[in-house]
Amino acid sequence: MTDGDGLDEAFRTATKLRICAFLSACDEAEFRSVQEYCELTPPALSKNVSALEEVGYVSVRKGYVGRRPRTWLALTEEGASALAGHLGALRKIADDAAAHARRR
Amino acid sequence: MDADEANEALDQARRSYATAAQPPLPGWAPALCGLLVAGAITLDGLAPDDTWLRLAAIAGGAALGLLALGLLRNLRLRQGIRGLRGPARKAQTELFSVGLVFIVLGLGAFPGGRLIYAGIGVFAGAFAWWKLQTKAGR
Repeated sequence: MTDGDGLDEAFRTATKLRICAFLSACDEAEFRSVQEYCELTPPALSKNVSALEEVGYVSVRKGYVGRRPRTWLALTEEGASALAGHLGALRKIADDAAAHARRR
Repeated sequence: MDADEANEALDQARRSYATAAQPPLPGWAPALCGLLVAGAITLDGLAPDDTWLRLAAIAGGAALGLLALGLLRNLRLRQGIRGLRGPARKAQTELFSVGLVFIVLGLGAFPGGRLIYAGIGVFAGAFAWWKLQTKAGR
């Protein structure tokens, strides 16, 4: 799923990157927390999460807290590894540009 | 993708990670955690002559430290975020190690060093308060 620069297509949109970077700090987060942080409507977050789930980067767990249904999201090992690779590629782009600017 | 876009995406990823690692706190939490940390270190270095009292003081200090960590963990859970991964988890492990070092030091503390522990406690408490305060209103 990576392009020539090593960037992962799944993280090309800022929203998906935000979701995965948020989830990379925890074992799991409630759907509502991610939605509030990303300032998305529930359908918009669902759509993004479905796309990430499809490529195996995010897992979804449904359950109950008392009688209330809740949904928890988690970054999978595969997602964490892909995110690390994507961030590494971003750092390389930024570092190469900085080195190029210094040489001039 | 150019360098500006790459830097922007990296900043965004850093902010997202930091928010999930430590979500915004209610205004009272930093001050309370700072007080608990200051109390924990001061109690740890109280060093009463009686062995049992000394152990009780160290246990009390450890309890206050754990209470501060538990409070932060609980506030995070109430915001729907469970568990820590990445650098934040490493930092927490290091914090536990520092706590263990203080426990060992507390066992060998002497009464004349109480003020030193109290000073370290005030400094560490103020530092904890300041660090958490920057996240409180985020």
